[in-house]
Amino acid sequence: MALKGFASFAIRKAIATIITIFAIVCVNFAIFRMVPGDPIRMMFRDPRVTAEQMQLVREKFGLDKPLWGQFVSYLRELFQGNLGISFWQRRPVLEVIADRIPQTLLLVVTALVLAVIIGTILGAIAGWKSGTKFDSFILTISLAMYSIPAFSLGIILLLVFAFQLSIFPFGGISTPASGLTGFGYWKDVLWHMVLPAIAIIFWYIGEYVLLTRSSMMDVLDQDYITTARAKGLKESAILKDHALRNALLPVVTITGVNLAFAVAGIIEVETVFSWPGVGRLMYDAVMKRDYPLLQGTFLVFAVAVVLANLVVDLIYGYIDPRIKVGKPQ
Amino acid sequence: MLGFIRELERVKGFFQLLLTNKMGLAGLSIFALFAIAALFAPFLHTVDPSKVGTVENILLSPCRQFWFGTDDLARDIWSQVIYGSRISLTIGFLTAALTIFVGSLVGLIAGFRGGKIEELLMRIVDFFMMLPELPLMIVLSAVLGPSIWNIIFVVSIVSWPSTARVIRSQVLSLKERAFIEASRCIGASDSLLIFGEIMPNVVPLMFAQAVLMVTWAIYAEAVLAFLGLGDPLTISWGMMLHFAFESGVMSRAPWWVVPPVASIVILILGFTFLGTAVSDVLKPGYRETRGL
Amino acid sequence: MALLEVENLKIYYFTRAGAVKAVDDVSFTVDRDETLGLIGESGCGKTTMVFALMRFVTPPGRIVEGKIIFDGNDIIIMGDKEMRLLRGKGIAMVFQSAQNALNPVMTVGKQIAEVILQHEGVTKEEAWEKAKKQLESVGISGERAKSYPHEFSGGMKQRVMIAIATACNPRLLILDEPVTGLDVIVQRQLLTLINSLRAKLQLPIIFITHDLSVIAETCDKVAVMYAGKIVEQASTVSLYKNPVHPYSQALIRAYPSIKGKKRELRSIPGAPPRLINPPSGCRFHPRCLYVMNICREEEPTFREKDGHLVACHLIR
Repeated sequence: MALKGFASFAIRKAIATIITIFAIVCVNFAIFRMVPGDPIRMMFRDPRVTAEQMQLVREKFGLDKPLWGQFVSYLRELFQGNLGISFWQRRPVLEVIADRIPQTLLLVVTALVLAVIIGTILGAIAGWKSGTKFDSFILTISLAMYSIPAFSLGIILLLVFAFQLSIFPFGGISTPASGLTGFGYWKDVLWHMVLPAIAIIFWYIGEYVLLTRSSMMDVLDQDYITTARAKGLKESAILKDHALRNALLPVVTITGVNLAFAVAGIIEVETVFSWPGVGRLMYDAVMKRDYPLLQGTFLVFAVAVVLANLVVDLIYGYIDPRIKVGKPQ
Repeated sequence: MLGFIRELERVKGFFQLLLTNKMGLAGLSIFALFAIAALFAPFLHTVDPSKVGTVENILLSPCRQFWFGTDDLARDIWSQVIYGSRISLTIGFLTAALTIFVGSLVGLIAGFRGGKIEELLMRIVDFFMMLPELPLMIVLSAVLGPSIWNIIFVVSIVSWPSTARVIRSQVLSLKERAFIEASRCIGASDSLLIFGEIMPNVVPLMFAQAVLMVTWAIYAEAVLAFLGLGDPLTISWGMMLHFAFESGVMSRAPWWVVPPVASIVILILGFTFLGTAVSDVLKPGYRETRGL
Repeated sequence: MALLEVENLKIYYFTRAGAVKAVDDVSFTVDRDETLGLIGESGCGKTTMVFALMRFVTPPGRIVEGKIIFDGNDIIIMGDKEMRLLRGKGIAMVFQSAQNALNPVMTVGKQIAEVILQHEGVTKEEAWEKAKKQLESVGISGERAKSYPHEFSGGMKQRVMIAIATACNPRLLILDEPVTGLDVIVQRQLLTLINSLRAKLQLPIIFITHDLSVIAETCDKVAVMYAGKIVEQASTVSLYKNPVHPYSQALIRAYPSIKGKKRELRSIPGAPPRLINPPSGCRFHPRCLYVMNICREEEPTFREKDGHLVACHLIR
């Protein structure tokens, strides 16, 4: 009985996710086929390419078939895991992207975990102490952190700490041709990760502080806090058992929404720091006009966000008893 | 007519309140600063920002003639910064206007009509909100080609759903309030209700959303430009950074990088402060808590 | 000695617009086995006053003057820790049946066990058992201790609140509009429960409401509040049979009754005053049918008539 509410919730969410992914796939297809003008002509702006050569390419990519036919083969290939061939690297797009995923995950997960922990703690304290100087201070700082775009921050960090002060490396994930292995290698990677991680974290901390703070302030206005006080409970118990647990619920929900923005941070920061991840890959694809790769990275990002949202929703459904236990019988 | 004058008084009062708020004051001041730069650009010791200069003037550090120095094509960076404010503000406001227009329309219709129309519109909105913004903007820009109008269009497409949602939920909560039922009881028609009762309560929210959207649009243009998807005919702050980044000499020319970054950050900060101030001032009971 | 003695209590809210005199020189007592009803319109200060009994008055409100003597100790000058120990154990309170008076993410049993653990040196298991027994005592099956608040109806949630409040055998129970907003049948059930608990636990109660019929069911004596002041105190029966103060008379008269002669319903003209700038003299004078010159100038003190304490110039 206890999990009945959760089971139906989980199934509903899973179905919605599948539908959304399918919609994304359609949108992905549509965007690249509805290019104004001839896509082949856009790919090969070089006037030396002859009309016959362009027609060959057209046939090869199936672009001479009617739109519906193209869509069907697109779906078929997608199911087989075929995302096309990258023009630039002349390898399957899926391979190219797969190579880069671990690096992105490393950066994202580290940055996010740190940001969430620091942000929610600071935000909870600020909300608990709202109205004090500490709170105003945190509020202003967080607003500032939240407003600085990641790429701007990245560039400044690069200029100051890498170029001027030479403390951190200029970019990349490890020192080239260093021959380091094992622990030494990972230390090197960590060192390279510091600046990009900071650039991503900034916005996130600002966001989480603001969020947790306002959530905490809302909770403190609620009647059950007065009830808790009327029981003669210690302030620390009220904070921990009553305020915090309720204040953190909306924070979990927002994490899902924020993930889309995390992708932006990833792309910006990986570009600035030449971090070999999927974000940088998207930038390179744009610069090199590698449309299959661009399409592939978009798909990967979009689906990743949707799946991550599903996970967040499921976690939330589990920790909020109003959903876990469901409506009364 | 009288109603219109009354509304003007309310607007005036709102701005006066906004000025008393510290953040509002800061935000408006920053905006004023950049607005002046944009409006009076030709009179502020500037030259044509895209004018390529002579070889001796490449990568000069700040000096008497070039207040912020020059870039790798000997273009004056100070001019680029000043004229860049035109681009940022223009794109910011036009995008915000388009976004608010489309988003509010959808939100109003969905909220007011309800039923199947609302469901359909909201499903579209929900779907759009699931898509990650920057990748979508990148892809659309790459496909449509770089130009100011495309940028405005692309950023609007990505941002209208959140405005739609906000406006719709406001309309829904207004619908519940008794005065709508009361008005219907005395025979008010739908359009009268929309314009007479609902709009006045929604307009402040639209304004708050507009400020938010300007902030977002300025950022979006800067990012897209930095990633190489800006309008090549103009040099926005983001484009400056793109050029600097791609030139390979960024490390040796901090004067090229710092002014555009500072401009982007300060302008965004200014609008963020303004946005916070606006949403505070619009909260019911704000006057009372300030003891006015 | 009475259990609770409130003397000349003044609670003001200091806003930028001025001081709101929410409670202005209020005195009353509650003995060890009686139930005091506190009746008055919204905004007359009754909730502020009982909040002061728990020392819940926060800035911009402040207890400006007066004494609240509970079992011989003045609450106002008590230390913070002492006061905290008093809450839930010495004095307990049930709030208006709000949707959110219970923590939505904590089981009902835990919320009862919490107050037991706080005040009594028992183990977690013992507290849980006691919590289940508390639920039984308010008519809810002990099995439901593991349920969450959202699984209960409004009336049942109020029962839980009562279970929490009576868990540590408080010496005084305050009920602030406990049945307001619930449907009549649920009201009846709750009032029956409250009365039986009162008898079983020998519990003195302060009962706040604006509903005359509820007071008639549960209270021994009544204090009528108007605009931050008490205007009449009497035993319930006596007040209803023979209200002395014009405001009390108007209240009773405004209440429709099925029995008795058919008569015109009379509401009280005007509106309650804003407490930033209360009327001079007797605060009720702008709405009083019997107003005299002295009413506008001088505040009436308590006088005795027929066993009632009344603040009105009409007497003597």
